[in-house]
Amino acid sequence: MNDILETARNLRIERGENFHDSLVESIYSEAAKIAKDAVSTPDSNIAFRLDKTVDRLVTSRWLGFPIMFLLLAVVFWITIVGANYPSEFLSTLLVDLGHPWLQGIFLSLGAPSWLTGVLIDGAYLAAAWVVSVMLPPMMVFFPLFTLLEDFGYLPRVAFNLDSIFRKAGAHGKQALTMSMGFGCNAAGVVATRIIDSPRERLIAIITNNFSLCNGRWPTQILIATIFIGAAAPPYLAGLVSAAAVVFIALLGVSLSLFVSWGLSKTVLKGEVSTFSLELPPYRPPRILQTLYTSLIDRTLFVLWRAVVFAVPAGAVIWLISNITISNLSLAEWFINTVDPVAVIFGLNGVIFLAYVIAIPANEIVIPTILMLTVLTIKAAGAGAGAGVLFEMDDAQTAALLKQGGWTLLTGMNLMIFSLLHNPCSTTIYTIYKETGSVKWTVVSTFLPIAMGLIVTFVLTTIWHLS
Amino acid sequence: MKFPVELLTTVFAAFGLIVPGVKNLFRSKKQKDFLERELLENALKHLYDCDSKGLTPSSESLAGALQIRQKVARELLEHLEVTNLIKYEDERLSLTQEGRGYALKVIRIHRLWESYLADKTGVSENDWHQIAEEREHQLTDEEVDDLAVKLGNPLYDPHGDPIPDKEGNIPPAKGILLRDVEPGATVKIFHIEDEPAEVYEQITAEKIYPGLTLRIIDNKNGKIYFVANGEERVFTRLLSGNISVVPIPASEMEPEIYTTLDKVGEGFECEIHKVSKIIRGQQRRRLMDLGFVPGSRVSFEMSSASGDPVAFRVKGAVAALRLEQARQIFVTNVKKMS
Repeated sequence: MNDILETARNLRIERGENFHDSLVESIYSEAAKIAKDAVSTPDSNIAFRLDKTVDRLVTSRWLGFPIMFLLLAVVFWITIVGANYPSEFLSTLLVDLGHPWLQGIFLSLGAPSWLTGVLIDGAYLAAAWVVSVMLPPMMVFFPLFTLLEDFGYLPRVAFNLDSIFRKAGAHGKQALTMSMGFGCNAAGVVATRIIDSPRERLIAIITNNFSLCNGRWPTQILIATIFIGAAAPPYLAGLVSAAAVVFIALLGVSLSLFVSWGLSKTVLKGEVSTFSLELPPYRPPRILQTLYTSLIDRTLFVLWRAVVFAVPAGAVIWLISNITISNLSLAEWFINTVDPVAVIFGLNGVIFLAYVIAIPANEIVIPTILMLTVLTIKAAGAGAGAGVLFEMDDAQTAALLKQGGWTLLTGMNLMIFSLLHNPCSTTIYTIYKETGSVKWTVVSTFLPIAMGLIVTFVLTTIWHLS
Repeated sequence: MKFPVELLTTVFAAFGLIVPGVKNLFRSKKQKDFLERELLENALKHLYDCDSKGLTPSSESLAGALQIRQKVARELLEHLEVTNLIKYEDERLSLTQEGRGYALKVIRIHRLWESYLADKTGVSENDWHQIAEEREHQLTDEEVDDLAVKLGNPLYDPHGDPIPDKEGNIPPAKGILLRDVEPGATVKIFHIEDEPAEVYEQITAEKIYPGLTLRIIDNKNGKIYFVANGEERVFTRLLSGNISVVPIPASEMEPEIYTTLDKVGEGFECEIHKVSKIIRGQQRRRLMDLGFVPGSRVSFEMSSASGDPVAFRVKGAVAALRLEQARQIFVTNVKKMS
């Protein structure tokens, strides 16, 4: 027995160290040789040449990038315009009609007012709000994105952009998860599954939050319009506010690259890094299948998680606005306490509280801010009652916020903080699910907050000095 | 503009260091025991090292190697003698059977951990040794055996050093020093000494690694001239003295003409000769999955808008590689496509 083991050991040593490698290599080589003899491939058909022509075009030095920006811009434009109508419809149905209707039912049943408050004004309204503002853009964006993917164009985008991401220590496919993040960060985080290198995947997950998601665009546009646009001459207002929003989005992209670079140079230095990218042939997209998978896998998946978090958060929003201790609600106590700290960052207590309790979705940050502002300044006639979310048109919003003590500086800082703060609870939960690590979830949550506070603090300090 | 980059790196590094830094504040008794284990094991390693080089160890050499005071070194030796790990024969200090076994176990962990770092992580080769120096004192026997199984019981570490097995058997160290090779010979690098770290870093910076084939051109005036990866290099005796080589079997002879895949351009195709050993672990397996294996015919497909990465057609599919990867794939039979 021992002799056999001894012989085996010696043979292994004789055979050399890279035995495993050479074995695998020879198996592959053999298979390749057999396949070469047995299989013949017609490679001069029309589809093949068409593929080559399209590839020449989309990866050409001069046209590659313009084509890419154009296509992505079209996708975003269709999303924003196309989502408006269903969004209005859902909002009318669920908020304008559904909310009073449910209130009526509860009233006729003789439910105590606090129960109606917690369940209907709190939990239901928050969930309804999240559905009506979140569902339509996702229903438009995800299928469009999936169509581009299915067609075979997206791998070419990763191919073209890899050189930029390589310099940041990341994978070219991060360009795709980043674009997906513009639609929804939670979906962007799930999309990182296409990156097979562990280190680059982690980088893509942590930095996805720097893509300004669908839920934050309306906030950016609103604040840019009523604060930044208003500070410019009227004929430039539209242009200036649009430029401000684009600037924030581009700031997000550069920070995403910068943080990727920083992570790959430090904490993620030792993780395995590989690169490979397959470029599949173009093929006609399978429309129905695409619609189905993007609705089930992406839209409903994300929406369900958002609703699950929105229900308890809605109840909390209502409760802290209505439970009072010595004539002040819990919300006001919190706001008054953190206000002195928030001022250092050029923000205010209302914004801080809104970002804590509106964690289920960025979409409900502005309604929460409006409700809390009405609550703290006791604006007569405005709003729908303590703890009840509502919306107003731009001019009314501007008037209310200015009444709440907002300035141009507050507006700018809110725009920055909206880009640089923790991901929404859906995304945080998704990050945890995808990484399976508490550590990386905590890093992805607090790193952007820390950066947001630093940037707003610096901006505020400079503002006050000049 | 170098300063801000370094500053930013520092800030990021500080972020990464805070967590372990806080941990160190709470050094427990367990940790102190651990420091003692480290000292003891390093002493055994030193004694084993002296033994294998035929030198006579002493408390002075031990104090020097471990950078501890003479008094501590003497106490350490007393402790080792009491615990029956070393013995004195005619005033001459040597390891006992148990002491030798223990030293081999530590060396086994060290070399297995280096193999682990090379195959399963992205840690730079210049950091392997230092990390393994720390880990070798931390693993339990079961963990070591699990690790060995997971790595496929490797015989040699990534530097080419033999790894002792569970019973303490050591695969033979092979080869002669590069500086002693005659001109005209073709050899393969078997082992690169990783200490001192400065010399090792100079060697890795030249992209010289175990498994690489060298053709020796000349060996004179204390310098050795050779061709590696198609490029001519000159090494000093200091560098070439830290590299061991073995004569190459005829089957592994390099073809006369070969180049790297990144030089294959529009309208050309080629045959893969081999994938450099510098591509390891997951990265290597990924390339093989895609079809980049010896014998495959590969043709240039297209270049990305920025010129890097570049796409190649291999086995009927199109795969993109970064130029730094393509540079590590050696090809022959470059032909213009019809």
